[in-house]
Amino acid sequence: MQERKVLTELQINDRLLWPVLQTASWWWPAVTVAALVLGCGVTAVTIMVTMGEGVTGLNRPIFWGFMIVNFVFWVGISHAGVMISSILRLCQAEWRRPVTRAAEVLTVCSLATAALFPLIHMGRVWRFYWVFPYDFDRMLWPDIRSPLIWDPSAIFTYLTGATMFVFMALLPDLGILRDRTTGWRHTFYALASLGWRGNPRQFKLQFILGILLSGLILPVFVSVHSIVSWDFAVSLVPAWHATVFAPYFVIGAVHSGVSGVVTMMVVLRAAFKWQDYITPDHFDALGRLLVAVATAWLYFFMLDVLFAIYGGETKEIGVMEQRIFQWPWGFFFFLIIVLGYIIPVGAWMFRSVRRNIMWMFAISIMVNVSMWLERLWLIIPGLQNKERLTFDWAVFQPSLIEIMLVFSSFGLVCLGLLMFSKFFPLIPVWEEKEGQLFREEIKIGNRIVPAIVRE
Amino acid sequence: MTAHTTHAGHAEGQDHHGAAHGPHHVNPRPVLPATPQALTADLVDRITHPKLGGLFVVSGLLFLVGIAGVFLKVSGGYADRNTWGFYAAVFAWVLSTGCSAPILSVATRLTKGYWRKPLVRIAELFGATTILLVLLYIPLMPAIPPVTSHVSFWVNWEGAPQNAILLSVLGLALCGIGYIFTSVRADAAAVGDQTGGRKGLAATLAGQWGGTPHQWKVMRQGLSYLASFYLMFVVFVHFLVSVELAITLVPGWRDPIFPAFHAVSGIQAGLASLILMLYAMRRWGGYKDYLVLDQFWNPAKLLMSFTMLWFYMWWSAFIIFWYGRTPAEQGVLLVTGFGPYLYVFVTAFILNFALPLFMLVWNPIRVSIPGPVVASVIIVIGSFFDRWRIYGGSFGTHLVDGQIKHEVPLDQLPIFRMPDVPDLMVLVGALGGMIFLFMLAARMVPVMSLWELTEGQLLTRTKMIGKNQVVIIGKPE
Repeated sequence: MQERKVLTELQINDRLLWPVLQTASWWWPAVTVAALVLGCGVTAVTIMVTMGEGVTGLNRPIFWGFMIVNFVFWVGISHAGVMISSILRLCQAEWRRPVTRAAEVLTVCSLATAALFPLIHMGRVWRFYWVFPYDFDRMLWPDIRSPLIWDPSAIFTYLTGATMFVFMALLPDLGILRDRTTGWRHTFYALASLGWRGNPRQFKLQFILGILLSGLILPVFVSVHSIVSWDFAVSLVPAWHATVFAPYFVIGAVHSGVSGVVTMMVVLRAAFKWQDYITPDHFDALGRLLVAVATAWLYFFMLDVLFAIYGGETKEIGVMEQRIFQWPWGFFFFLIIVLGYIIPVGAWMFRSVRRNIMWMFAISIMVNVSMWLERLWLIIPGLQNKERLTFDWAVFQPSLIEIMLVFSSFGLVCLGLLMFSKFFPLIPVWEEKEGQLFREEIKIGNRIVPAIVRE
Repeated sequence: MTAHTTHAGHAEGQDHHGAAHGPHHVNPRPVLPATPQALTADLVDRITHPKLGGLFVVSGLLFLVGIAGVFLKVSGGYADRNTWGFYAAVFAWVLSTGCSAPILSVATRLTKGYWRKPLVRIAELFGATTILLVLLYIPLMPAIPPVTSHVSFWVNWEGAPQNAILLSVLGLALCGIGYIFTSVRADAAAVGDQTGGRKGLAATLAGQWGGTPHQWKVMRQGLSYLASFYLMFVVFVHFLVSVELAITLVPGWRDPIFPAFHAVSGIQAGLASLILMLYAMRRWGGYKDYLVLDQFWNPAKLLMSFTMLWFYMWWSAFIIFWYGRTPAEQGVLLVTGFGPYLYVFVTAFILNFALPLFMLVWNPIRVSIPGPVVASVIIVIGSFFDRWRIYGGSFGTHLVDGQIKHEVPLDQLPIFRMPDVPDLMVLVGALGGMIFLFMLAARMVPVMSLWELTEGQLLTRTKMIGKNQVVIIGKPE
């Protein structure tokens, strides 16, 4: 990191803990706006539960609409944390330090939001417990061969793992906060920090736990979106029944999640004035990573499209024809490619763009628009293809209720992040301090070269 | 250089700080001569007195056996496509092992992995094996069914799969050799200058190299582009080979993940091949001080990741076919592993996934030199079995009225075919050919990247923090 500034421990404490110890002037208005947006969703759910799923655009045969699209989208965003935190930790990428916490919290918030959507989509929300083995007397069991049963297991495992991951990395910071607060907050941080004293043994154990969790969460990370993809792929719906769906969904999720982290980092940098911590170097590194991720995503995307056409099966060709040539799906196809790959990767090839914060912000949003559309493009046309019986033909038109639900999910995630920022630092204080210890320079001839320490 | 001293006069078992180690201690990081001049002199000495002459001769002889095997195969004719399944498997195995090995150089160069420096050239020299791929492909061309006999991406463009694969393997070979050539220019100049003037091949390779900032900039950019091209070419060739020599030959096989599986399993085998060559260079090639724990442990981490990816990719396809259970899908499962080639598949599964993962997951095995080497031997063998179950089954399917009808599920399973003598000669020859071409390239150009090692030496320092010695690595970019 060439732009890393020399900062004292006191400066790091001051700059990173102020959002927790004080309240920014914009914080309450931001919370109010997020809560109002979330309120739209609560209203929509209330209407839907009261009046039934008829208020949505769902029909026969399009049983899965915006709610499932949104579910897949948020599960995708949740892949940011592990990608950034776990993989970069295992690779010892130094630039990860200020990015990890926010990415992990984004994972937890987006995954919790995603988990709500299948529940809402059920209509009868109060029957969610049917996915658990519950009726021992009558020997009624959920069908464990159904991916709809695998889904909750995978998501709750990931949510548990991701929460542990956040908590594990928070421990040293909770200790710092405990020592700087009074009253109920002191009690809260004292309980949460589990007796953290910051002695070498505790740091060693925390380090080992971090490495272990990083390794253990990786299979869960991959399995979650794979299982979500199998919700679709194990069925025989044309254009869904494709072997590539699992890695294709996972890499798409990483593309979307890491872009989400870029968006969030820009907002955090501006909102908390963390210019010394989140530097253009970080965006440069994320941009480079995204070039590789986006290219892998395009590879799987093209494999999916090519093989749908290759087989020459009438139904597959029919769906693909609809996806590529019919309004509005053809337009979405164009947008997915242009906004998801051509413009972003074309721009990220230039160092000046990767280091320009506003460009990165705009492009990261562009990618996520494309990724949301991609999920819509994947899910709906497969269901609304023409069947032999005319009463099975239909098109999907989302209702206002579904649009409100999608809109409100962004409010929920933002609210989660805002609440977290009030209680915990969004940049890990101890990691920043450790990063300062690992900062070195070496002199070669007349030139000073930035360097890092490797054990 | 004597048997008991290493470069720059350091005694065996001592690092350049003079710290003594036990007889079996393995240095975690290369212990290089103290100055860039001493490093260059040491490596030039090793390059001008190459070892492993015996292996060079033996592999050359095996290569000749393979050429004889190819002639015997061709003389047997092309009437029965099933007889070419084993040969196609050997071809795909060469693509997966030798031709995929430079990927580690490509990946670590693009990601600027600091541990790459002593091994990057060895990985690049595997690019020479792309010549063998071209040579193996030409006799296989008539065994590939014409595009008119099956559904295809080529929309009835006659000669398409044969010519497209030929062009792609030629492109891969050009890219691989260009990659070696670009990387080696500065070293060729240095070797030439140190050994009494640029003459012969050194002069050709070095060209007008003078080490100006502009030349360095152009070379670095060229290497980045060629590295990216090589990666894309390898993935593309895996795509074409897996589609045209396997998927299109089996009725009803529509499997978009298969080209990705082929590429991933190829890169796994390529990594394993590279680790084996690193070991040979360390053990018998005289590079014990350059190729140390770091150069085995780090690739071993990647090897473990690719071993898990092997399973993930295979499983992702299997579960869809298992759940779909259409007649076509059941047929595909039978052809590619659960039918006549069941034992081959089970062997591949154990050697490519179960056994290496069980080994590499343990720290004492992964963080060692013998552990990754043994896992690599297992994977290279497993990779061949994996290719055999795929191409053996695919080439064994029957045509219906001269056509492969994708809308008609497989009505007859392929017959398991044991390899005959020419097949085994081709297999042995392919192995020998890969080693021979590598050794030939290694005799022409330096096995260690002089300029990268020198650069690494300039950018690396050691320092004591408390009781621990740490390495400080400069990151100029």
